[in-house]
Amino acid sequence: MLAWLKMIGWVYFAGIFFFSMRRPRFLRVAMGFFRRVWPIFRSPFAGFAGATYLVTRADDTQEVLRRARDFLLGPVNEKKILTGDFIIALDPERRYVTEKANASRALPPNRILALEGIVDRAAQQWLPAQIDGAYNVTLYVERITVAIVRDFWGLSPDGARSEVVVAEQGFETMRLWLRKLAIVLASMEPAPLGIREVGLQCSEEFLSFVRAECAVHPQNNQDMIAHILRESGSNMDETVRSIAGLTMTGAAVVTKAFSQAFDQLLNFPEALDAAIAASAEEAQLRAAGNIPEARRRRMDVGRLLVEALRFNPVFPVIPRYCVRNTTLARGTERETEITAGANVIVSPLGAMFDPEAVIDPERFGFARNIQLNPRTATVPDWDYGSRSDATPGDYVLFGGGEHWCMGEQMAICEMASMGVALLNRLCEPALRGGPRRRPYRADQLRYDNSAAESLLVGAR
Amino acid sequence: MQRGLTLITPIAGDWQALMTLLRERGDALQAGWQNNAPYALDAAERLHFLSLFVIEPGAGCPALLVLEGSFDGRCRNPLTDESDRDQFINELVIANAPLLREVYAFCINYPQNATDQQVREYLKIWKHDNQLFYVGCPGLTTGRIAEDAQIAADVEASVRNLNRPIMGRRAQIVREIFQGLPRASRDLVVNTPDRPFWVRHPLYEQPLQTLYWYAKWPLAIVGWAVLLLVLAEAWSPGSLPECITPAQSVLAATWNWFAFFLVVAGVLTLFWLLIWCGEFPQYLTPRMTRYVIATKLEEYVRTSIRALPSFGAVLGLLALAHWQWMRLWDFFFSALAFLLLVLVVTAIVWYVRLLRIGLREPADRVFDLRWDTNRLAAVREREDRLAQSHIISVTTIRLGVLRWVTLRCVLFAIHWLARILYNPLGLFSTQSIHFARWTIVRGGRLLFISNYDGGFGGYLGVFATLGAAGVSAIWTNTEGFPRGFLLFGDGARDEQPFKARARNSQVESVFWYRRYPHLSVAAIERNAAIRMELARFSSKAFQVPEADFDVFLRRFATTTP
Repeated sequence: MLAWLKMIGWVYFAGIFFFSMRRPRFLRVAMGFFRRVWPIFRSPFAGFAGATYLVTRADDTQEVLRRARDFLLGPVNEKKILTGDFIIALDPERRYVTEKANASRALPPNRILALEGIVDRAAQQWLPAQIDGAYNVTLYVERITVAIVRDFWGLSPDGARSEVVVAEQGFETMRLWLRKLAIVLASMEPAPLGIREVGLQCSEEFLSFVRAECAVHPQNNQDMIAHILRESGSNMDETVRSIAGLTMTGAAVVTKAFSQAFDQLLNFPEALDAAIAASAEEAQLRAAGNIPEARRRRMDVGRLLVEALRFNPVFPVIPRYCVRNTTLARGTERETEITAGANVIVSPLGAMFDPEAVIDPERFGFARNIQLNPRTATVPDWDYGSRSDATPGDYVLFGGGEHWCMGEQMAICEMASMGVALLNRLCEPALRGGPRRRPYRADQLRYDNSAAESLLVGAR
Repeated sequence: MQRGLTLITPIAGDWQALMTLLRERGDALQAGWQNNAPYALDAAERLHFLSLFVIEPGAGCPALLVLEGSFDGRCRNPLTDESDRDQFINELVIANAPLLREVYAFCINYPQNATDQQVREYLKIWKHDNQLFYVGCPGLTTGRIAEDAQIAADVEASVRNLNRPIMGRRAQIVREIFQGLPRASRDLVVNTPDRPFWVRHPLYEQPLQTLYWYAKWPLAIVGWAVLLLVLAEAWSPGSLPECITPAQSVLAATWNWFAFFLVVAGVLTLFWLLIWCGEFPQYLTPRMTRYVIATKLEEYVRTSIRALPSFGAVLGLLALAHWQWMRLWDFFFSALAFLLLVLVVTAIVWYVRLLRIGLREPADRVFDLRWDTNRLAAVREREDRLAQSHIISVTTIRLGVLRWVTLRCVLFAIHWLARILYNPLGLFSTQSIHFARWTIVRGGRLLFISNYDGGFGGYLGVFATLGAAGVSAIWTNTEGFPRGFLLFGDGARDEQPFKARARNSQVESVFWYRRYPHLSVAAIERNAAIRMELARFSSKAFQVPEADFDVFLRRFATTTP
């Protein structure tokens, strides 16, 4: 009887989980409540679902993310990444160090510029010449991410064919593969409602496709498959796992991040105006050949989108697995003993609305000091974000600690480039010489399980 | 399960000569341990510890020779109908008859030139029951302890052979360690015997889960029995004997409960379906859609079918509650009344006890004790050798039936509570006792014998702090013990007088045999845990939570990733 109740209860929990994840305002209120009343909250259902803690303060969140050897990410992700272990399903150990180093070395130094170019070309291809009526922003982003997978990662979707998802062979199939796999990653474990079954079938198809592509991939190409093959010493297994994992997570994060950030941007007229103005200036400067200045405007758009994303982050909560008995927030009033085997859920959403970390958090900040990753801040490609003063960033948009997203700069750059192209096209006058238009939300952001599915935006 | 043997025999001859003899034999044995020399008693395979010592004559009591042994229990021999202790006495005689003959020649009524059979018969006469017998590592036989130590050593070696720096997923490391073990050790790990059920299901640590484990099957059987009666009566009314025929009201109530559960399950399922339909994965081919639906429905049906037995048991228990509710209420109220009665009687006895103690024992002074420095030196000479120590204490029980009854009750309660509320940290959380026993002997004396780890000071120190309540409850009923308060209070908490009292009551441990002198309780439990954890991991194909692997690896600090 307990097993039956557990099966039913899990689906109910999944329903509540998806419901709340799609309502950032509700989540913000809830996390704020917990932060004030129970900053480290222990679930009363420990006997039924295992010990679980919810951490909502910024400093505690940073502590959990920083202590990667006590609070592991590997056990959380290993069953959700169906394409095989890669960096984010491993914990700081030998294979993790090797594979992360290989992937980092494989990233070309000019990647930000390369990605800007890829996104610009793809946007020109997929954006209609004139946007009349409602336009699906999420679909636009998904298509651009597939173009990135093709041009930057080197995984051509031409031969992609599926018996699991209904899509045309090639580009569309790849788009849905990536989405279905990302849904599993952003779900709970075990993924309910048939999500896991679909993900498993998709992962089989996707993996065999990636394996076939990598096997015949020319090693002297200037794309990521060739780079990783070279860095890993032609280790096909590592290359396939890394490419499958990185493309899937990269595409998923950027699609959802841009959809949610743009959706939030529409809620703040002044921020939207600023983004429209920066985009227009970017286009003018680029046309005039002033590329450095144009890129600075593009970065401004990126910063606005990052701030908008704070209101509805891709990961409102991040799970970790406590591998040994330990103490959290030692020496404070909140000091809590966390038992081995407990799930610790940290809330970036709660942390980024913690007034002790982000001043006046409910205000959309145009000039916030967005220090996302002080570790990568010292590298020359620190293009998007603020110069680091080596303190931990207050924004927890791309994880933290050892598992800080190594592609965060690339993701922001892609988002900024997509935003500039989209805003310029949306705001183009309906008639030559007419007034510039302004985007509006034609329909709310909709989801396919945990992935963004459609955000209809019009212009008037 | 391990058992204790205590033989207490009056000495007829010169007890001091016997002491000298035992001391010589004991010294020879101790000297052998330094070189791991074998000893005749090694042949008694079930023997953990054994000691022979003399209790000096007291007022009106002769000197007593005590043989105490701790051994692995067996079932009664069906062929000879010999009890376990008798079988063990036979084994002891086979292992070292010359020593026993030599020693028991000093004792009363010992037959001259006794044959082995006569020695056996003689020893069996002097068996004495222990009022409290505590086992530190339940279920770990001598053979098992040796096997566990060997496996732990093999695991250590396997760990040393791992590539350094040792980093990698914990499951992979542990799998590699297991696969690196010699074949014989792996076989032993796979065939690890279970420990007693009260160790596997500790009520003290996991009360709710353990109570559920105890109650699950009895409740399920009762529930199904009643449900079958209800179904039989519904199917063929009047076919059952009257005494077990449920009333029509019970049938109706059972049907109502059944309908209630069905409606609740239906409503829950309806919402389950609604959520599922709302969140059903999109953009799937028809074949994939059918596959997902079939998989989920199969899961639903399979889980529902599996839930039927417990559902039936719950239904049966509810029917029983309806059927026998008068009797259940009666039982409940009777139990409550009985409990109240016990409480009232206990309160009265307690009050009387306090009054009597107040009148009879106005002032005890521990520091009035007189020290025999020579005896103390002899006692201390045999302490702190290798991992374990041996303590023997003889104290005089205070006069009066009340004290005697209190002591008996306390010993009885601790004897059973130590099992029912088994504490992995040991008796009174000491985790250093291999075996301990409290025995009431002739002359109103309390004999305490313990085989423990570490030194006298530390052991008694733990007794005075962590185990003060239990220790006080026992020894406040003896003379010269620091004054207690309401049985459990004060007493041993007064540490220095308590230690002085214990030292003063100590009897010299002249002859003491131990099978594994280098292993502490913590080491034995650690070795056993290593083996059991490996057995569990391998039985689950190393698919266990990461935290469990971490606990395993942290036993070998250098390998922790």
